[in-house]
Amino acid sequence: MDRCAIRPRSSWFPVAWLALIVAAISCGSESVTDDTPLFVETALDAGIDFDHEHGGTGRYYYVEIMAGGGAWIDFDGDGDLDLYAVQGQNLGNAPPTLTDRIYRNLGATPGERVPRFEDATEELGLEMTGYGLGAAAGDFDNDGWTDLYVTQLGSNVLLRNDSGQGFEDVSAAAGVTGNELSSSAAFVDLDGDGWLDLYVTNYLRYRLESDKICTDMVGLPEYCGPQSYEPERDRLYRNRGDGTFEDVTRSAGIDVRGPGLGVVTADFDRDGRLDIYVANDQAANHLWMNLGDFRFREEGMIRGAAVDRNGKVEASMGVEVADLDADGDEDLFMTHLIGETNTLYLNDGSGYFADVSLGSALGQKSLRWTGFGCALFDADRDGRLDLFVANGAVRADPTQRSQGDPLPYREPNLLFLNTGDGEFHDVSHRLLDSGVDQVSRAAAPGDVDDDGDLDLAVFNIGGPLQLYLNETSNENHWIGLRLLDSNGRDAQGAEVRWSDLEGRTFLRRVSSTAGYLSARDPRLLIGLGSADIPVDLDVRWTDGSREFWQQLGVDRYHELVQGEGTAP
Amino acid sequence: MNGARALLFACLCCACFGGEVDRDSLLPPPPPELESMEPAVRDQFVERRFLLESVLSDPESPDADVAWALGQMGRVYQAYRHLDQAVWCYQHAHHLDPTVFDWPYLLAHLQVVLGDAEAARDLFLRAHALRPEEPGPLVGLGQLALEDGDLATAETYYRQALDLRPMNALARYGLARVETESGHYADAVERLRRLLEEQPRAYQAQYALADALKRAGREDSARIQLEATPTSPLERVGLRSRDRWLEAIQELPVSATALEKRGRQALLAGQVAEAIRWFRKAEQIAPERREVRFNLATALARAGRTDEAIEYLHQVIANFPNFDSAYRLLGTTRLGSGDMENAEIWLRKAIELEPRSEANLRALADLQVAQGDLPSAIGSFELALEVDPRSEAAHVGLIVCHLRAARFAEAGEVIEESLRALPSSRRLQWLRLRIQAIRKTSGSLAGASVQSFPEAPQSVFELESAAMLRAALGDYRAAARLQESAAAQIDRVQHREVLRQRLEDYRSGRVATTVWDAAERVRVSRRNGRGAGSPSRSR
Repeated sequence: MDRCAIRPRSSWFPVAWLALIVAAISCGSESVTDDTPLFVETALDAGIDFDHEHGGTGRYYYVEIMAGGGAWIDFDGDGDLDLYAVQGQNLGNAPPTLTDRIYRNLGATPGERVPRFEDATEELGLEMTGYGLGAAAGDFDNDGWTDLYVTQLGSNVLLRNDSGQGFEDVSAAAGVTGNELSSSAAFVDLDGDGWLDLYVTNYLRYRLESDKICTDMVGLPEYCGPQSYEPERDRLYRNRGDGTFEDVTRSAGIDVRGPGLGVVTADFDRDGRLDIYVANDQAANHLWMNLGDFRFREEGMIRGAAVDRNGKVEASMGVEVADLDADGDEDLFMTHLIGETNTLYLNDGSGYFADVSLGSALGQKSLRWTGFGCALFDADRDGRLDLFVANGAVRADPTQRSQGDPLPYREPNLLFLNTGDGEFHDVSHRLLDSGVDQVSRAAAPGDVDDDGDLDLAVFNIGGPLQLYLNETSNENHWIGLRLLDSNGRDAQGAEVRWSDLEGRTFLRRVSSTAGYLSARDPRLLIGLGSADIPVDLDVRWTDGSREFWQQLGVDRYHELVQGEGTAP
Repeated sequence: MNGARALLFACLCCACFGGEVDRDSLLPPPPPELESMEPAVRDQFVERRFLLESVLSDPESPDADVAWALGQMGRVYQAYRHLDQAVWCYQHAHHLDPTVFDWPYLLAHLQVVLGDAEAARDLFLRAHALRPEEPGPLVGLGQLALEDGDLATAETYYRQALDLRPMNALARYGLARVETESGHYADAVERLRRLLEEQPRAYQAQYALADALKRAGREDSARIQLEATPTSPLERVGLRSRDRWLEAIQELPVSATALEKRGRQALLAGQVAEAIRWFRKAEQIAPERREVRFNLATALARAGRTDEAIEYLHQVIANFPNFDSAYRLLGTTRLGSGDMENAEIWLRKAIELEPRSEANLRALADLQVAQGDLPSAIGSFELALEVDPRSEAAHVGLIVCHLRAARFAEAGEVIEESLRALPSSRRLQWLRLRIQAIRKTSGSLAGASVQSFPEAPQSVFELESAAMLRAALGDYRAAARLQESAAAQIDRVQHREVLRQRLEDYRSGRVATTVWDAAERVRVSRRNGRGAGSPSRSR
């Protein structure tokens, strides 16, 4: 176990965030010297037998090394999380035989620890035979049922949830097909009109027919890098509110191309409008500041969130956004290629960022691995955000390859606990699984057993989907929130603030967008540590309105519906 | 860590430290996949391994020889990014012969890459103790201190390095970052500007300069600076600082991928002959790599070896008939040689294969400009901008088309649109000034005031734009000075004559609309055996 500190460089904005964390909630933290498992892998026990196929035939098609996402989605509206897993497809001349799969959560039978899932793919008539990459979840038509957007090589697919009875492909009618190599996508209400808009991150101008041949440093066949292809422009779709979308990419000013992989949305400059951040692979990242009226301006470079502290572009893959330093604004964390630190950009409160990675363990511990998916979440309910990073190489490990591993890109995943004194501890050894490293890509947190802690789905290339159940054994308290807007759908983009007894204010935002190619539990799960007193909340909805909820009881979920709170 | 990696690492590390080293344990496992490597790469590993085996097999060989052989092995591992093995070799080499600078120094750099700052710091200190006259370890120590937020220590190390080598670029860059972090923005800006005068394309210095300007409250200047900072890894040029130990590592790789990379770097640095040499080598190893061959053709064309480039591109196309970039390059090379008919054939073929390529569409537009078909060129540039609305080259091309067509008002409108898309584009800002100058001179901007310069003019383009504006305002003396400054930056006679011609135009009241008009007059006068008009000197 390593004990590692995040230390800001002497910074041009007065970030005393360590002090804030130091002073933050004093509570029963998970002991960092404890070796008992924090997360236990239980996918097969739970009935999830998904095995990803990258479709490779030894030809090293570029797309093989990217894929592997999915979504937590309550598709049948029974209140618990079901799981959608995106599948690859046979490449080369083989006919398509694979499809995405969806698993229905049946809950745990009494006396059992692990919830049961059943494969509902055939029952729902789901046939998704494109080469899938990722998934986003959101109720785009405001009918109360969460829909799915699946990114694929070529055309993407919008699956309208038919009241939990099945999914209908409405992509063409809705106008969101696209024809690029898309990666992550995000449903978000960018103009506060009550309808979810859609941002689709596109990667490269890539077709299987134009796949290039590349070799590594010693001359062995290898996957190409993103520089081998031209970058693609992302797409922004505005929800018209009638089941269709308008492609407003051009008029919105989304005019910079980039090899995009991850996307998150947040109000970085605290002007009440949701902005967009896109993690690009070996290119400057994009920070699209929302100017209002569906106009955006790219400001990544000037705001210090496009490149590393030395001006070097990095191979950004997954990205997460959260108020990591508990100062009331939203910071950015993203994963990178081996030899580059994962990067932590701290927000100064006005949407300007400082890269504080290298002095931090989160950065140094990452130098040996290639990170993709990442999740900032409170693993041990102590009120502090912890971190999971899904790793998997894009360059073959010579030793693994020489041993005949058909997928020699395996790397260990990382789990860090935030100890509240400004330090993060590497507790990766407390992830209990088969012990075989995977080639991990997406990671999505969700409270799959509704027990008040967040579990993890990890999606792997050419390997089994992993379900890590959270086995935190401390007595920490929590409160769970499901925010519904006036249409009765998850209020993606709404923010929640609350204060502790010492007057410090904390921020969380509703979003189903997870770090890379995936969708997380849209509910908010807030760890309270040892505090067991009722909680007062300040909610700001995406239309700008505010409401208060008071005296919410701990250790249970609450449903907060827009219009049912108290006006300020 | 997976089992295999853990086992290898354990094998490599078990005999690392402490006490006597068993010589039998000093032969690292052979690199995986040795047999599959490109032959030249394999030879490097085999040769150095043979050397090490030879030294180890002689019980009389001194530790220093074994250390040296281990270090050579480590260098190859490091060059091919087998970092764990390289660490092992250097550790043993250092243990066996702690008097040699190379091993702790190289090992320190590896530890930086592997994220072990403490180990790196210790090793840099050891290296410094061994060769206090070398700035490298001090720069490394400065960087570690800077990243750790210890500005005072960082400054001390950087200044020590500069005492040894006052022009050391990395130390100056590091010191500028210390100054920025300390709030001494003016010092940082000054230091970085001087550094950029010597290494104008060094992206770290460019970004650091923008950062210092931003923190000093000069956000507009920072934005302009950032616009000029290349972010693509293919265009990026890093700070150069002589370090023969690291350079020796960089020069080791001989695989096709490595050679091609060196070729690209040479091409980027304008060393065309060098680039051709590297691409030729890469091509011999991997003739199936179309990008290698495309790059070679590019270098040949840039070297002015047009016929050779064209012949070679035909071979490339025969092998890769769907490679649109090769068709485009063939078209632009034909255009360069004046063969417009064939140029158009190849460019249209490139567009047929890849209609969404901004580069293909822009190349066709350039051809249409050369053909004098300005309406078509305008259409092609507009199509290119539909594909990539942020293409500065396409924006400039479109505006210049309007200027050539003497559509000054349209040019004025388009430039405003372009600046909305690229508000920080220095080139567009200067082009706007140029258009204002032209419109004022031509009377189409009567009564309107021209805008002030965005920054002090630097490039030839900016200097001549400033000259045009001064001339338009009637300040011929200033115009002449600026014109001379521009001329001083270029040594080609024809350009100088073009500039003089244009100044003549201003002063005589004629409307010198574009570079091309003046250039054309120079060409004509040269063809007729006359000068381009008497050069004008400042009064």
